[in-house]
Amino acid sequence: MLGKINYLSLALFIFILAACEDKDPTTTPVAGEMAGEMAGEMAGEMAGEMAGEMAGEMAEECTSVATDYPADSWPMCISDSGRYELAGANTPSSAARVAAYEAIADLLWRNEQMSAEDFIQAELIYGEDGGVGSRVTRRYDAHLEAPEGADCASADAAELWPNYCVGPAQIEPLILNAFAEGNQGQNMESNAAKIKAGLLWFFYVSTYKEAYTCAGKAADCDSHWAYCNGAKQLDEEPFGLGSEIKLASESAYQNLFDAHLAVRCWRDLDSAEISEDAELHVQVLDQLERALDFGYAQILISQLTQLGANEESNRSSLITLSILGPQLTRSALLKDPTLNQEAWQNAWNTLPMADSDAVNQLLTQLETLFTCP
Amino acid sequence: MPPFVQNIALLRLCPRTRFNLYRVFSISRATFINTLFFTCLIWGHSAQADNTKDQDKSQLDDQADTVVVGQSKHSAVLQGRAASVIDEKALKEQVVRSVPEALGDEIGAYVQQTAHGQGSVYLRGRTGRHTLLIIDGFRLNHALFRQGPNQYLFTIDPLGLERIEVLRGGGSVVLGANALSGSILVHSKDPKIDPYHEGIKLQSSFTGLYATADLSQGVRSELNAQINSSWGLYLSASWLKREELEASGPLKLRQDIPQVLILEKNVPRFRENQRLQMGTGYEALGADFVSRVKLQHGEWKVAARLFRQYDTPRTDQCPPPEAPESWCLNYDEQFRTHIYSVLEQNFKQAWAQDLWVGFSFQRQHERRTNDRENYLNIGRDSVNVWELRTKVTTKKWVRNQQQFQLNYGFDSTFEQVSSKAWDTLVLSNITREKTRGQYMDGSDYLRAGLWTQAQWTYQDLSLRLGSRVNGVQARSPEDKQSETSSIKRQWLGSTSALGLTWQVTPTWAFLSNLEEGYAPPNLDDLTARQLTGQGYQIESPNLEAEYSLSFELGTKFSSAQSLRSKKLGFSFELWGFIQELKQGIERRDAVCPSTERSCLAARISTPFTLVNLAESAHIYGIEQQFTLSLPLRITVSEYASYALGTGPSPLSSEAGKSRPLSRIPPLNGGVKVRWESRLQRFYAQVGLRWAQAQSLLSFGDEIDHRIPYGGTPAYQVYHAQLGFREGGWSLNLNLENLSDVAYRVHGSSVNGAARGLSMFLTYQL
Repeated sequence: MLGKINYLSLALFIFILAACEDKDPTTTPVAGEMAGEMAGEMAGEMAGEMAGEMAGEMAEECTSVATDYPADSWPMCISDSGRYELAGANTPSSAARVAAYEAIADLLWRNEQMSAEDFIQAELIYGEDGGVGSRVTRRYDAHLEAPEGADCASADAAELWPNYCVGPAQIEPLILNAFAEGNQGQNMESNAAKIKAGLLWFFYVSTYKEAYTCAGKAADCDSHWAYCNGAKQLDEEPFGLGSEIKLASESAYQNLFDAHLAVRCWRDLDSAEISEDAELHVQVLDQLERALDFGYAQILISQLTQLGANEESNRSSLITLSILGPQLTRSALLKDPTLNQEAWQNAWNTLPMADSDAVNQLLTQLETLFTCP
Repeated sequence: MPPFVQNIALLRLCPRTRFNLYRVFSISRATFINTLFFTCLIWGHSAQADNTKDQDKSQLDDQADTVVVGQSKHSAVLQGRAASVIDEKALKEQVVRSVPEALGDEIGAYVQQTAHGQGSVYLRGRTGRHTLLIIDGFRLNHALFRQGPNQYLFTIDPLGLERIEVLRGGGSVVLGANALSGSILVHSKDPKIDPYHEGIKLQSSFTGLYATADLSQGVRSELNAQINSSWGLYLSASWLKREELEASGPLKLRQDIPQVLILEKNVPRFRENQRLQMGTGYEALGADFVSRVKLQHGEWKVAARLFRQYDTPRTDQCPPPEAPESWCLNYDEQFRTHIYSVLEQNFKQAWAQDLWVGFSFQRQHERRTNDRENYLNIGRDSVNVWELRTKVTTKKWVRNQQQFQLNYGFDSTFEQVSSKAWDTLVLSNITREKTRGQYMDGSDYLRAGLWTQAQWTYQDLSLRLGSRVNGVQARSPEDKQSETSSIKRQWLGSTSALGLTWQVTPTWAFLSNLEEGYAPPNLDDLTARQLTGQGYQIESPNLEAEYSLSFELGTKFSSAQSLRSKKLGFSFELWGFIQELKQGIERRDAVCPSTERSCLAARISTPFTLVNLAESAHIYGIEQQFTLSLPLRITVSEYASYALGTGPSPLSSEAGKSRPLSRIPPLNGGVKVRWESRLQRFYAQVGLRWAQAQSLLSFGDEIDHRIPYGGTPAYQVYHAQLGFREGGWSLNLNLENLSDVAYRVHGSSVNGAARGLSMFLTYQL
């Protein structure tokens, strides 16, 4: 009997020993140097150099919409100081996601010696818990009416509502595929351009979405501002989409900042926990949408203008533009209902292979459509 | 080779990776169950072969010696205090899912469930560093205990326990640091030794469990092997699997809230049927091996106990509010390994009559994966705790109706931390180690205490006076890359206690206790960087120790002793308490380190650090319970507890204002009516658990997505238990949530289980 007990004890101990802890993950070695060797060869020269020089300034004949903030028709509000004052208790976390854009930019499209390792580091920033990637994956386009039952966090959101659930359906696959290739050292210039475009697209959608949901949660107004420029005041250097707009047109950026102030002013005047002045909300959303689309168009105009100067080295810009351009379709149709949507879309989609005539034609269309906000 | 031996042989390969191990278990789940089953059968057959067949097992149990030498069956620290005990019988009758759940019907206790497989117990309104958990005489609290230490009581199998003792109020002198608001003393099963039996005697039992609400399945087999009249062994093995927990639907919340806000507190997420809660379910394994030898004047015990919990999602992060359904923070492994030796000896010396000395090694290991489909954040934290604890009791001096006795002791722990973290890019299959883990790898924590307590009794008065000196050292290395500075801190503190009991009559007493408490910051407080339900926590290296001063006044009355007939009886208990918390540690908004991107982008934008409040916080409360024993073996019992905690607001924007303390439970209580048959073969019980709404919220509570806007709604939940035993069989049934009401315990991530049946079926050989 004792032998039997000993045998069982031994078996139990083996059982105990078997339940051991999992081994630690194996760290992937730093990406090969080959990718690094090629890095920088195709680095774009245009960034910054010509920036602003050719940027379209708002046409002098533009007259602002009478109801746009600031105007005499607006009562006094918190925005009258010209500074964006927080509605919530703290700077929104969305500011950190826009700061992440700048960190990614330094690693990729602003980096003359871009390598696969830079892509990996950039994706670690993108994929940080609570980081920009975590919001891309659930972003919906508030410009569109929500389809019945739409839930962009559900597993089949991308399939069922590809336009409304623009984040998981369109932006995220674009960015993730670009990272996946870039991490292997493949097509680094064009993949960096895709990532840049994807992020700007996300900020464009998010700026409007947060202003929309600010009706139910006042702190979202802060997020709308932060998603656009990293929570920067007018006299500070903006980040992200705001930075690109300011680079293209100072006045467009100023105009957009006024729209941020309009949103904040509305939520100051309509300060109930849940917004009660739907009419004013619609009004400020309209001002924001026009300012945002105009600024966005200025980025496209500015970049297309620069393409003419150095076509060979600007393939990555063409890729970025081919992704950003179609996002203005809704706005372009509002401005010109006779616009041939198919031709317009096709022109953007084929931009990376387009000749200078096609580029000039798009440029002309943009300048015509987006003369004023 | 028998099937179970084959399986053990498979395990013997001891796959070094969890995945391999898990594969062994998960691919051959049925085989694994067979293993346990066959093991039990073999134990059973062994028992049958050697047992005295006609003996009544329960009678044997009664004869078996479970009394610890030199002590009453309940810990001495409970004497003259607000305390309660849950014995093995009650644990089975409740058909509890976990140790925390076992405390759900205890006066002064409130069980918050962070997840289906995680929960922490609030005693007198506090948890975490303000409550002390002791298992088999050793600290379960360790240097990484969080403010809501929700995993650790889940690493104990409730079926492997002999009893749980709950001490409400301070106990720092005898038990050590952290016993500010209460202590939970868990006692595991040990070998039972029948002193009248010579030779080998084997007893085994096999328990199966099942529950409908989470389709729980589990088995536990135990073997008591008495080798001779002075040596016994106890072996056990258990396995448990719980599926997703069904609730009675989402809570009915405010309807005037916009969708954007509803989504932010959409915890837990439900499946399409609005009943099954995502982020629930887990698996667990447990095993014990204990050897107990009775010596001439004492006994010696050596034990190895382990518990392995697998795949326990944190419900509120699985998925997080608003995130895709596929995202999940999962505790892949939550392991506890405890090996210890205890010697109890009666020296018959005046100044050292009884000695209790224990040496223990305990390892807590956790591995988490935050699976966000395209990204994995993996963290692994382990703490090894070495502990030495001694307790000496002098003889009892008696003179002229006076009695005097002294207890004194020494205890010390040394803890070493290992902590690492990795990020994985799933599409590219690339993994990178982060510069630091949740804690600083290589940190250590040393704690030592020396105490004495005197007990003096004169006629109806009993006076207790004690004091302890504590020394603590915390060290943590520097990491420049993550802007983490090195820490080397020491704290020296003392606590005292005074207790007075006036035994007015043999059945009625007044009790009062004045207790100082002491809680030095631990490595979690000092060094952790982690996302919590209340925001992103960054390290707080400059914290000072917390002190408390608690006063309680109570009365206990029990008619059972005065009424010779046990057919009718009445017992009553009422306590009021006040606790002042000095240098209380609370959350304060902070600035993220520039390199900590997780902090910068955290969902709840306000990162927080921990600070000592400049002014005192106060907790007041009242507790009462009564039990009425009626003819026909019917008992009616009732309890209620209330606590109110306020302190200076930790928010820099609210200087000078006061705020409720975090997650103070609401007014809560319960009622039970019980009947049992003459020989206790049958019992039936119906009960109600209730809680008022809790709308007193701290700053952290308001932004906590587990707490609905405006607070947690009130609830009343009815349940019934019944059972019987016949021969070697016993059946315990629990009908939970009879009215199928959707409810949530304040601060929990999961809603309570839906109407359902849970059961234990035991066969004892």
